[in-house]
Amino acid sequence: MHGLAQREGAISSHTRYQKRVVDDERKNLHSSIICYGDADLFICFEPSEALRRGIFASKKTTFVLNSRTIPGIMITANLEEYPPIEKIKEILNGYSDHVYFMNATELSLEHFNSNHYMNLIMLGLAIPTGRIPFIEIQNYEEVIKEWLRNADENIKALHLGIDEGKKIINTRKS
Amino acid sequence: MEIEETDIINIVIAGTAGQGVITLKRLIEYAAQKAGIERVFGSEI
Repeated sequence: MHGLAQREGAISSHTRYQKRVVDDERKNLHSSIICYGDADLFICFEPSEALRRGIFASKKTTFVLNSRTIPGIMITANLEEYPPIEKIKEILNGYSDHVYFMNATELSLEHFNSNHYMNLIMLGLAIPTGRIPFIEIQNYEEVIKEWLRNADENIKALHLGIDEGKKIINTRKS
Repeated sequence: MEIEETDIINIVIAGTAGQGVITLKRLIEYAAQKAGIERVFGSEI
């Protein structure tokens, strides 16, 4: 069966990597699932999805969130209320001080007349946090050129996200 | 915070269907392989 997750279905993924393995195999990466509370970085394309996956967060987690909301079916049916963005931020700040919002959907619409580039813009926001170490920008660019349609636009979106992300992160630091 | 080459990096990507969650997950994983990272694992939930 296909398509069951379409139209507002929640999607999440785990990515784990280890730059260099050590001789003691017990200290090396062996599993594809993140332990509860062990996420270093959350990249959330929809704010409430960060709360849904909160079990993987802890004080070491950095959150980057797209501020554009997509109300689920229970909300559009007036059976539940969407939590205010400020409330979401307050909850995430209970885990960590490193919570960064950006309206990546709006940026994608503004610069590319499409919301399809939101994910690359969000990657761009995540990179300046320093929580995706050991991967260079050119590594992303190579993969984009090999695997994605509209490579030039996707690379522009990545750099747009990096530039806007640096502004957001530097503003918070100053 | 200093991150060592032997540290395990854990990234959660979350969103709703059609937003490109899996595309971004695979992009990071392929880029990690190009960067010479020795172990790269992922799961799609």
